[in-house]
Amino acid sequence: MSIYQHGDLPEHRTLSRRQLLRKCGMGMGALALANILTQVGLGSSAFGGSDLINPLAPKSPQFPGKAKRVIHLFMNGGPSQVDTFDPKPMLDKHAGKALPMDYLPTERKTGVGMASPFKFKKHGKSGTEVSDLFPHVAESIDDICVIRSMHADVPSHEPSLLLMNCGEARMIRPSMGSWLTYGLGSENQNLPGFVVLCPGGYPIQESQNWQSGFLPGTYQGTYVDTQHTELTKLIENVKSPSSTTKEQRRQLDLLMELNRKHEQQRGGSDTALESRIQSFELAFRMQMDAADAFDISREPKHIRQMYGEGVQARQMIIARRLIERGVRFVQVWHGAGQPWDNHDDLEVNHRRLAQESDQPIGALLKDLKQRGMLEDTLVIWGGEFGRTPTVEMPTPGANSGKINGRDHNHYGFTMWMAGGGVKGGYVHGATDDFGFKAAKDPVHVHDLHATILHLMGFDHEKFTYRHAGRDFRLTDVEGNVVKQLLA
Amino acid sequence: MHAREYCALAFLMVALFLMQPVIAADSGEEFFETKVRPVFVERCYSCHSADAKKLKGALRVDSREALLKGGESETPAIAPGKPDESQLIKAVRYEEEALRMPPKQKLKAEEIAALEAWVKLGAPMPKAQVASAGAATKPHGMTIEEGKKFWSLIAPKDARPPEVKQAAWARNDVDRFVLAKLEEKKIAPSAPADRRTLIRRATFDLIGLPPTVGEIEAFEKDPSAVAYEKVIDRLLASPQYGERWGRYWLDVARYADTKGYVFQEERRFGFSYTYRDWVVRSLNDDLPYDQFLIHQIAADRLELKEDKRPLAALGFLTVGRRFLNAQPDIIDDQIDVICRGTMGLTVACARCHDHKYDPIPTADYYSLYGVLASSREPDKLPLIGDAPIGAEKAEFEKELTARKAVIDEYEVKRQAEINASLIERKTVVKSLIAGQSLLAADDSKAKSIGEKYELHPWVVQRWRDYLKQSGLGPRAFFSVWGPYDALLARKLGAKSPVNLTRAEAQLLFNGDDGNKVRELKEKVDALVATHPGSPPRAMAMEDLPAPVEPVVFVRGNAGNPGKQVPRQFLAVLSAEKREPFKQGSGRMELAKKIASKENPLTARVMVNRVWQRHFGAGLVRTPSDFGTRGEKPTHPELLDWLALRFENEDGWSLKKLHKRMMLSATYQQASVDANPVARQVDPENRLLWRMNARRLDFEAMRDSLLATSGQLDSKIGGRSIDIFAQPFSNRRTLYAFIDRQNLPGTFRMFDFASPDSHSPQRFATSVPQQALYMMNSPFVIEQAKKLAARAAMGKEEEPAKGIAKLYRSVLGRGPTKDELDLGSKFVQVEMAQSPDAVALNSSAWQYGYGEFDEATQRVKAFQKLPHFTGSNWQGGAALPDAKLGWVLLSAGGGHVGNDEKHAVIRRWVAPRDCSVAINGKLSHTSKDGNGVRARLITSREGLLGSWIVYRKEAATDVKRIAVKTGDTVDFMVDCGRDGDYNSDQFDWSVTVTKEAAVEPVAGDDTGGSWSSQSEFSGPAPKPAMPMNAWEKYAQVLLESNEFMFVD
Repeated sequence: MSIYQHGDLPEHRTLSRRQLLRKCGMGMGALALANILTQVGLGSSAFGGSDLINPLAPKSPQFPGKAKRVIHLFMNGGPSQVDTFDPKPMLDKHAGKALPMDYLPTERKTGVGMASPFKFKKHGKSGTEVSDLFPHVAESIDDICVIRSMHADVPSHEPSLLLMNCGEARMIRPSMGSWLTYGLGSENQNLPGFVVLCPGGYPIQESQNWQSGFLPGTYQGTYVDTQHTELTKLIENVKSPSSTTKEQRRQLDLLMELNRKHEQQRGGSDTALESRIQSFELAFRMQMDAADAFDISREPKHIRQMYGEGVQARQMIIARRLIERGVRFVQVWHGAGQPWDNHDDLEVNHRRLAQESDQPIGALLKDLKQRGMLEDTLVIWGGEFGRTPTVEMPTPGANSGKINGRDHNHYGFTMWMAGGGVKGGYVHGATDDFGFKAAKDPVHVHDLHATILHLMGFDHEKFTYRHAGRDFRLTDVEGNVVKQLLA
Repeated sequence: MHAREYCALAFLMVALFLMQPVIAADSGEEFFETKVRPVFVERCYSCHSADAKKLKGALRVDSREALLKGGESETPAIAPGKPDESQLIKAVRYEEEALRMPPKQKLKAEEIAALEAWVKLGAPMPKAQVASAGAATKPHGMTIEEGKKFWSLIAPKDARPPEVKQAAWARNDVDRFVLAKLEEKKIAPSAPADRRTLIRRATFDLIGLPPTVGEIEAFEKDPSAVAYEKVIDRLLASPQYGERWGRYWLDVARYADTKGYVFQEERRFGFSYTYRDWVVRSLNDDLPYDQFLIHQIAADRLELKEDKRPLAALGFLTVGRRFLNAQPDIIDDQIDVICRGTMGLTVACARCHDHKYDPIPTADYYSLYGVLASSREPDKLPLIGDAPIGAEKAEFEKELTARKAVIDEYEVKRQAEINASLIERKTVVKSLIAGQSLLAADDSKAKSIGEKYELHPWVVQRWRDYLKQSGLGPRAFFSVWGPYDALLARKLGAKSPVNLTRAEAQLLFNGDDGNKVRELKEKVDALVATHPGSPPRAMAMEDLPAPVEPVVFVRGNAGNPGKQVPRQFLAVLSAEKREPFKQGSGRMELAKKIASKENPLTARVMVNRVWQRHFGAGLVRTPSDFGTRGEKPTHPELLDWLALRFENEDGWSLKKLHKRMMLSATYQQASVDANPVARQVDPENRLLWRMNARRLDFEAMRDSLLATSGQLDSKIGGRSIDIFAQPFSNRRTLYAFIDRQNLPGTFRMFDFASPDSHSPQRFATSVPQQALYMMNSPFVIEQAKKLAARAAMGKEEEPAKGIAKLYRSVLGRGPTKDELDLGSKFVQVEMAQSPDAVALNSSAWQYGYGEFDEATQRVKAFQKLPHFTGSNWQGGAALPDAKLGWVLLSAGGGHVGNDEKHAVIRRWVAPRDCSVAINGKLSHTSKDGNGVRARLITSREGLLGSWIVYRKEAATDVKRIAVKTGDTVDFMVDCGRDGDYNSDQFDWSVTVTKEAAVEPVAGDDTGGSWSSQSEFSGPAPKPAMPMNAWEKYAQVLLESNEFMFVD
């Protein structure tokens, strides 16, 4: 018999643990149920065996975390800190002159100091300075914790992207989203637990940025090209090319009956059989829920107006709708390739990129807040590194030789976090006088990861996975929780 | 000393300090206890003491001996009496960037002073601390001597199969080992599986496909005592055996068809497929397993005859990820695939430090590293066969020549341009001066001189050489300048600095040239990699002319070389005195050490892998970790017994090994869970009291779908193909193109082996995306349709007959009475469905006509309009329609019908319960006629508004009404009571907006609006792949658990 009556369309709501119990309880042996909802033990190779029943069942962290879910806004290419959140009056004074410091080696040759073409202003009660590139984001500055002393290891995109995403620059390791989905499962069984939005194609390093590494493939980020608006292009196999929902329901009812008989003949206690039976019911609901989650026309007009027009607005609304439905980790990339990588024409390009994303990001923060979700949703903003305060010199074949852009810079850059238990209206650390290198309270990417895991309820040293004879961590053998960032 | 040695967390550990015995023997020690130890305890102990949560840099500061020994850099941390030479003091002074301790915050000045004074005193420290210092020097793993006693590292023991009580149950010696354990626990083994189950199990196990109905029936009827053995022999002889077990080996070998992430080079491996095909062929030929391994590690060192195809075996080493060509990472991956893949040893753990648990020192890792670093992939991969003859070959060669010619052309053109620029009068003058300057300086100045004169340093050197050789010396300027003319180049001769060869000119290529040439070369590589006429090559390896003498990379950092180590085998698997490898790189010697009866791991690991595939779990449940962190075998004597049979009696024959396992009664048990006692005692079935039921993996599932639908293409080998591209390939899944960088989601969701590193076993997750694939993927639907067609099911098919046919095709059996009833009911219901019901994408809007019922104040006799022109709904192709007259609806409005009975109606159907507001604008613009009458009517509340407009506009707003799913809201327009329908065209666009709470709340998704204008549409599209009743039924059977699981 069927769990659903014909035409009983599922309501668009998060399927909580309790609901799952209630909904799936019918016809399901107690043993099977226990297995499906068993908390996966952390710190040991829970998946060493071959039966992994429901990998996305919600699980508890090691201790109660302030943040329950994450939206990671990835400004790929590397936004310039001195043009956005790290004002440097000294740089203005030395504009056009060699900076009085030892130049640190970056990817390419750079020249004199390049003043920021953007104006900074204090915002909010905290008085944190933000450049005029981000007026909408600045409105939420009292909810934002700006880290001005980030640093990474090398000035190249590929290793830096992997470091930021997976905590390791070269070898195959699971991404942060995969780790968290592995550790926490997902609150919504009808959607993937880890979703990656990027319009127009992949960033460089491609899907390795959201790889599951040695964790089961189901923890890999599900990539969605937000340039498309058609649902079938967003999610694979989400719609039947043959049947209406009602027809499909009739097929599934028959399938359920056949499978039940098959199961009973085999003792009725096999969790693998049972979970495959349930997976069809979940899939049936997923068709509706996915359609619903990605359909932003269902947002009221005033909300859509708040986010504005364009693909960035669309993907921020989608991000919020996904998070709202219980997806654990949503990563939102600015675009294919490396849009923020402005070796040339920095002023024009940074202005354009900020114009595309400022209002949508500002709206996202306000929208989460007005829904009461910001307090347990961690929003992270930043690139894989920042940019030099000095101007990039011409290199044939590498830039267009205009001498009006900035090179990569991993020695010091800015990221910010909001919500999810971070200290709002706070500025952490500082770069040197010119914004080249993290000088005060440096925060390495490993430290950032340790802090994010802490916010989610994990001790980064104890959150491990046994693979190839070793217990692996997101932070490898490094990382310290930056306590000052915590609210 | 390394910075990490002092890495400290700022935990205060005063309490800990207070618990330490304080035995100050003299004033020096007292000074230590009062001034120095508190600093150590508070600022250093958390990382550098016996009690450190985690010892950093292997350095401890809680004993004098430990300080004198130093940490992993093996330099003393203190030089007693000499603070300035002590690394510890340098570190706390923050003298060097790389060595600042404690890393978070520098010590206070007085604390540093105390440490300095203490070292100057000779660093006295109480003896009491010495006792625990021993622990610091002991490696935390296992010593080599201890390792040689570990179960997996000692030779297998040939135990006699144990005596059992139920000797009759045992069919071979395997069973005695299993039964003895069961009897010990008083568990009875399960009944034997029936023949249909058994042949299905055996067939999937050996060839990854279901048995045909004919095969099942033949086996069920075969009275022979060796009927089952005949089945196994047939399957082992099938070429599909190699395809199934080859794929298992490819999991071990982390096979893929791409290099992973690349920067501007061809991403595909052109010839990974030749490795895959070699594996399949070798397994089909039952190449002895020791030879199988030797080929894969060192085929280039074998004396091959005419047939060079065995060289392709080296793909085992070369089909891994390329890590942007970073050699240490490539070799790390190779060490991992060799050691975990063949011996179940996690040697790669020893890359940065000695293995923490197993007896594998870092030095051993770098001994193997040296072997692989002494090997390379040849620039030109060796040909191992002929290209397919014919048009494809000719086409390939022609295209290859053409693409290479483009590179030649570009390089020659640039050569000419570069030479022309070098001979410009201005450049020659600068070059002379620069060359002259370099004559007086050494080579290292070439760069700075070049920069000064804006010349490439190579050009400066070339002129310097020219000036020197020609002996012109300081007079050069004049001697060359004098005869300078257009013939200068010739005059200066072949070695002229202004007449560069093509190769020389390339040295002066700029970034743009580099990009261009790379781009052109990529096109050549792409052709070689993908063209069907490109002849097969082996992804081979060869030895370097001179092998590399490896050094340990301290902390795994290639930039931090440590002591030199010989190229040799692992200490724990070698005799006391190890012989370093002598032949070339040492790969062949390494291969022979692995593929040897002397090696206690190799046979055990492979036997366990085969067992795992036959029984669903290995005797050792960590199949690639036979070290101390792995699991111990459930049946150690059986594992040893099988390993010894495998490498001795059976001569490393895998086919004989399969047979040994499959002929056992253990293997032939039923999988039904019908023994509550056994379940209680051994819920995981570790003792094998029944067979484990298994779900098909992705390959077996897809291949079975193709086999069942009759589409399976049995061609063996060749280039990989995209299995997701339409029209779908019917090749076996083994031949799917594996892009390790962006592995298609379908592979991932079905737990395909990660192609990124050696994969010991597959996960078996259950996620809804798997079900979505079965329900909605065009591939599965195509198979369902083909299956129905194959069973020749017509529309008139009698249900009982059709169902029986499908059951036999899909499940290899007939339906039960219940199943027959269920099926008949389903098929009948589906056949009764009108084709209309199949329409997808149901819109909220409908377009029709009808009449207003004054009595009920509702719409009467709503009929859908029959014809859509592409922009309008109307009565027929031409207007006025014979029956429906002028009735018309367009996106923005329409035209009324000829009388009150033919009012046009635009209908909105509520898709869910909600309250909505309706806004509209109605207008009639024609000067003629007398206007139209509009009504807004809901099925729930009746008439809500009525407007008559003539040459004017009206707002048709309704504030807020509640609707239930399926309620209709009709926008009806007619000609009015007078019946005059002249010039009664109108515009009426409406928006139905769902009302949302003003303050949004979490989980609220009730926004949404429906616009009559923008959502105006023609008939709902027909489904892309419509299915009839039988096809739908066939799909259900393909989705069933019975199809997906093997009992």
